[in-house]
Order: sequence, then structure tokens, then C-alpha cells
Amino acid sequence: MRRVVITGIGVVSPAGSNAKEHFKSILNGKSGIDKISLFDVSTMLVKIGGEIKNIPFESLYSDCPELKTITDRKIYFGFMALQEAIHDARLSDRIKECGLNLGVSLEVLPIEKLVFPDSKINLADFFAGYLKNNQSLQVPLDTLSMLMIRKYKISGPSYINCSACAASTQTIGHSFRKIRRGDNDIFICGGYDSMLNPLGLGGFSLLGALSEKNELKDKASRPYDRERDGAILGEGAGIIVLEELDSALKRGAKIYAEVVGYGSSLDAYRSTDPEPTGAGAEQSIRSALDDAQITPQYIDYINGHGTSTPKNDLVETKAIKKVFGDQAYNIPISSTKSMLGHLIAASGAVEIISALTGFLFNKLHPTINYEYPDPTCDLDYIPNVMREWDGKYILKNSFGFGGQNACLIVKRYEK
Amino acid sequence: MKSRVAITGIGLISPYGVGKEIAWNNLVKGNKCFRRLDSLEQCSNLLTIGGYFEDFQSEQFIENRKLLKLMNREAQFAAVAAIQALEDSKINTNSIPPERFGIYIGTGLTTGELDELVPIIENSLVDGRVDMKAFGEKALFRCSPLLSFKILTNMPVCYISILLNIKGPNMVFNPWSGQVAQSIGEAFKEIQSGELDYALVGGADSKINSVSLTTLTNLGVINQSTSLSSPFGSNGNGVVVSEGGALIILENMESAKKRKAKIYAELIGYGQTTDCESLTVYPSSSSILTKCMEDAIIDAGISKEDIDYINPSANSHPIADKTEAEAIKEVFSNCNEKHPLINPTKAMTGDFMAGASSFEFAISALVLKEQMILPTVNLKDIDKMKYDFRFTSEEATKDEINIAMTNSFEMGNTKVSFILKRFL
Repeated sequence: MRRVVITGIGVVSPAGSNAKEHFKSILNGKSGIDKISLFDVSTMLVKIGGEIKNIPFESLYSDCPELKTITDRKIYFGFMALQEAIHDARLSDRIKECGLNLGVSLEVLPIEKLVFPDSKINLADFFAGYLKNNQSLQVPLDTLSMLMIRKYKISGPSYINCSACAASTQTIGHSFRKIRRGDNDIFICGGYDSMLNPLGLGGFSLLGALSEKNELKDKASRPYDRERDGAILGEGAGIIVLEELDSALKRGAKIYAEVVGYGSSLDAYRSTDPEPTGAGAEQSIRSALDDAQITPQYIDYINGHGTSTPKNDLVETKAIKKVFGDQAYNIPISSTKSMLGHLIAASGAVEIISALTGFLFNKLHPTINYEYPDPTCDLDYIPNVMREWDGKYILKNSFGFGGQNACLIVKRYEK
Repeated sequence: MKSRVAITGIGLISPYGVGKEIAWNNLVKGNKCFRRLDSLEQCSNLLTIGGYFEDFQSEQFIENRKLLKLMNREAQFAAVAAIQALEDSKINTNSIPPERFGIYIGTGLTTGELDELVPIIENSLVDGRVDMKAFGEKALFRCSPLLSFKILTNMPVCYISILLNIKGPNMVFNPWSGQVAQSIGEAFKEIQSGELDYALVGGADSKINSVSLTTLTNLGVINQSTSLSSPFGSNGNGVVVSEGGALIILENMESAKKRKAKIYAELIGYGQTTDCESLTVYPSSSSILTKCMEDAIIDAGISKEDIDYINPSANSHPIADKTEAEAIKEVFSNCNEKHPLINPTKAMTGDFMAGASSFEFAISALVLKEQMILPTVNLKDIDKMKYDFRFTSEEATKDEINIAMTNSFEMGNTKVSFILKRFL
């Protein structure tokens, strides 16, 4: 069976604009969540989020002049993370044969930029006229893929995965399967996203999915804590270069870890809530374990989905207990979302990269803001302080909105 | 040893109606599904003719009213087609291990239901601008809390999973026809390699709304004066937009045989290429399309002479058609025996956008099943000097077709070809 390893990483998150910065922040339990400054949120229900600060526009324009016409911010940090991962993997000419597999959620309609002639509008007519004159207003979903394909003359397969919260975990799992099967040798995969725009923030807050404890700011995202009351939205990008082991060894690539298992499932329950017993999540974990051909007792750490919503964290905990039994209490678990918020289509990839600190530094990042134990969520969530670790197998959970689940198993690289 | 892959369920939705019979019967008769659209409010004079499914009644097919309320038009199309496909296959999802049944689909982009955005924007306006204070204070609370469900592109897969109790591996592929074709191809590879046994694949789309049509106009894909869908034709002057698509059940051949399923055809080859040269939505050169077809032929383990029938992507866009024709010539020019029949069905259906690839894939499977080739209704308009192919005739005919190819070279960087084989 062909083996698949990680040979490059790139990350832009509310905690840091490259992998090094990001690792330093999350190990130290530093939150990237603050009051939203991108638009006026004074009358919004939700006023906090995990923003990317200081996008270096000028240097990005010189690197890629096509960006100048693009208004959608997620394209910028998606591009930054892609560049970092590509350089990190030192792909050079091999990039042309790579596959590209990117998760992203939606095209954003930036309503805050709209100007109307009068207050009674015929929206159909308006859009027809407005879009004609402002072609770049709504940025097509395949913009970043196209940009990368043209810039690097990528001729491998290109996928755009729109599975929302599970998207980037799926892109990594899907790419892993393709390499293992022999369809391709290298994939650049992951995701980029931002819901920090009026319709994104407004839409999610109407669903009641977000925390409204604005006064708590960086303490509002509190996965698995009794006082948790909802997710915090964040933005960012996480990119991983996956490569067939022999290809990586032959070119002397740096190897971060080995991907050994992938599974995905659907709750098929309700569009608004996770399946309450955790059956869908359980199936996803079990599929990943089966795919890796290991039993549950091999897992040494779980990077949780941990959104900080009352239902999601509870269901995830139940699913973990179902799969791991008594052993569940001995597996350290942490939620990267406690520091970054929910990066939606970018979340899985950024969180998998975050978990790699276990292999890189023998340290696991904590779940911050863990203050009040919840009797129903009673596992070891690595509260507040990072932990030394020398384990081998990591399980990554992504249990998304609408009941879409995806899990990955990553292993410490051994010859 | 790779497993063989059977097509055991087809669900079609199109302006002809719901179901594969109604679409197939109309196609056999050479009926077009277009109507004048310039008076339709949501088109706002962006399109003269198109394929609009006027009397679509989703509630006839989707009993779950609560769920139906959350679904936009694309999601309803996909769900109805999915219900049809699963019924057609006679698979009982409760009787198979959930992790063996995957669902890989695409529904294009969700532009959002305009009606839902109007009150939000109207209530946010201060001096002609969308004011964020007003947005938070007044506008948000007047809009449906369920707005996000209609916009999030992953929701259709969730609705279908709920309606049909499918709980296995899943992915959502967007935004164009090529990506939806990938949903078929990726499931095909997974069934071949034994990672899956069953998959619901394909997609449906609706772009008959002013936001989508304006975007397509900006991209140079459609123009208001287009009044004829004539692939490879002299008078075709742009894409005629339609709505619809197909959901398809792919199944491990052994499993299909064991349960004595109806098998439409066998899927044997999948080729895909990425266009890294073109600066527009259509390819700048034929080489990327040539490679795509050749990859599919290699994957199928056949020789190009074996191909009897091609359902081309040709959508009446002059550049797209010309490039595809060049590529088909390059692939088949030195065939020793007779050339494959070319059957551009978009002359009848128009372009279903994200739904086009799966629809034409399904049509090709039906051609193999029925041993009936569909008409080329714009035959008189085709420039025979320029496109000296063997087109199917103006009327449907019974013919022996053993191997069919279907191309998805519509807009976007991703190009896909499939090869299907008659099942005997």
C-alpha cells in the first residue's frame, strides 16, 4: 500500500499569519478573538470574531498582480497560506503535476458596499445594473483555484469542495485516498474561508449558533466548558502538501507526519442540530480507524471539532465515549477553536496543522477558557495550559453544520 | 483487481418535467424544452429564450414540508432527482451498511433567493447606502432566520441524506458542470478500488435568476440576443440557459448482479484535465480537451475505434464548440474504421449549467440501454465543411451502440470525459 506523508504546511489564522507565529500563539494559549473591526457591528447581536490582522496587500500584489482586482478577503489569506505551503514543501517544478483540492464555503455578496438610487428597490433590476458595472463585486468561487492553476501551470486535477465546516478535512482525506490509490503523487489541499461579513455573521447569529457574550471577547469561545453558549466566527486558511512517501524521500523532502486514515459520514438527522446520540460522528471516527487499520486504543490525542456550542460539544463527547469506552478518559483532547473561533471551510485544515505541534515540538496546544467543568462533558480537554506529549496517533474530528462529518488520522512519521 | 461499476439508478429533472421517462420521450421526439423568457420577471430582459421548468411542484415529491421550506430551487431539483434515482434503483438504504453508501454531488452556486434579500437591503438603506447600524438594528430581524440554509452550498447533500437516509461518505463539488462531473468520477474510482459499494452522484442547477444571468453575461457565456441553441451550428450565437440535472446511482457490479438490479450501462473510463492556460471560461486550445478524452480512453482500457457514440459538451458557444470539435478531430481523425456518431443534445435541452454533465451522462447511459440514438435537431444549421462529423440524424433511430463517450467541457478549468459501456 502506498504511504502518504505531509511535506509542506501553510497557515494564516487569527493567531498568526504564518505557521511559526501560529504555533507559538496556540501553544501559549493566546486567543485571536476580539471585537470585529471589519465593519460596524455596534447594532449587531454578535460583535466579536477572529479576524486576520495586517494582510500585506502591497507585497501580495507584487507577487500576484491579478489580486489587485479582487475584493474578497479570503482569497488573500488563501493565497498566503498556499504560497507558504508551496515554498515550505520546496516543490519547485514538481508543482505542475500536483493536484489542487481546496475547501471554501461561498461567494460573498458584500451588501455593505451596495449603493442604491432610491429606497424602494426592484432588486432584480438593481442587480442586473449593478453587477454589470461592478463585475468584481461577487468573486467567483473558483477564483483562487484558477489563479493558482495559471500562476504555477498546475495540470493535476483541481477540486473545489463546498462541504462547509467539514470541507477542508474532506479535501485532505480525499487527496490522501487519491494518492494512496495511485491516482496522483502530490496534492496541495486544505481550505480558506471568512464568514466575517454582514450576511455571514448576520446569518449565523440568526440561527442562534453564535455566542452572544460579546463582553467576554477572547474568553467567549469556551469549548466543552459548562458556560459555553455558542461558536465564534473566525477567518483564515490552512494548506497542506500531501505526498506519496517514495516521491518525498526521493527528493529529500521534510516530512511532518504520515496520514493513515480517513472517514466521513452524514447524520441524516436534522438540518439544524447534530444527531443527539452522536451516531453520525461515531460512524465517521470508526470509518477513519478502519481505514487506518488500527483499533481505538492506538489513538493518543484528539483534536476535537469543539465549536463551543452546547449541543455540538456534548455530542462529540458522547461519540468519543462510544468509540473509546473507558479509554476516552485517558486521551487528551483539545479544541483549536477556543483560540481561533470557527474558520468554517478552513477549520479542519488549520486544526490539523495545529495538531502537528505534537510531532514537531512534542507539545499539544490547550483548550483555553476552560473554567467550569460540565458534568456531561467530562473528558480530558487539556485545559488552559499546553501539554508535553510523545504519542504517535492523532485523530482529527470535523463534525459540521447539517450533519456532515469527517475524520482524519495522522501518525508520527517513522521509516 | 478493480471492481466493475454499474449504473443502476437514474433520476432526471428538466424543463420537460420530473423523471427520466418524460425527458427521454421528449428527446426521442426531438422536442426542445425552450420557451420565451424575456417577459419572466426574474430574467429582467437578460435572456430571450431558455429552458425554464415552469410548473415544477416540489411538494408533490418532497413530503417533508419542514425541510422543503429550507430548500432553494437548486436543492429542490437535486432532492427530487435523488428521490427518483434511488426509487429507480430499488436499493433499500436501510439494508446496507451506511459507510458503504456515499453521496457526492454538486448544485452549482447558490446565489441566494433574491426575495429573501430584498427586505434585508430595503430595511438597511440610509441615503441610498446599506447602513450597517440599520442592518443590525432593523433589517436582520425581519429576514427569515433560515436564510443561511438557502445559501450554504453544503445543505443540499444534508437534505438528501435526511430524505433518503444515506449516511455514508460525502462530498460537495462546485461550482460548474466539470466539478459535478468529478462527483461521478471520484465515486467511480472509489467503487473500483473497493472503498465504496454504492454512490449517489451528479447534480442539478438553476441559473434562471437575474444575479446568475448577469454573472453569465459578464463572463461572456450568454447574450440577450441568443435565440437558438445550435451546437456546431452557423446560427448558434451563444448558450441557451436551462435548468435541471440528473442524480445517478453507481453501484459495484457484483452487488448489482447479486440483487438482479436493472443495469443501464457500465461506467468504464474517467478522464479529467485542468486547463492552466485559458484566461476565459472556455479553453484557449484543444490540447487540454484532447488529453481529457484520451485519458478516459486509456482509463477504460479500450481503443478509440471502439467508441460508437459521443455526447459532446457543445453548447452553442462559438469558441467552446470550435475547440471541442478540433479536439474530437484530433482524437478520432486517424480512426481506421468508421468514426463515432456525434449527438449534441444541448440543441434540445440547452445548457443546464452545473447540471449539464450529469444529465448528459445519464442520457448516454439511456442511449446504451435503449439502443436508440437521439436526434441532432439542428442538423440543417451545422456547417458541414467546418464540422465534417458523422452526426446522428434528425430523427431518433435504433442502432447498435456498444461504447459511448460523454464530455463535460463547459465553463471553468476542469474538463471531464467519461466512457460508458453497454451492459449485456
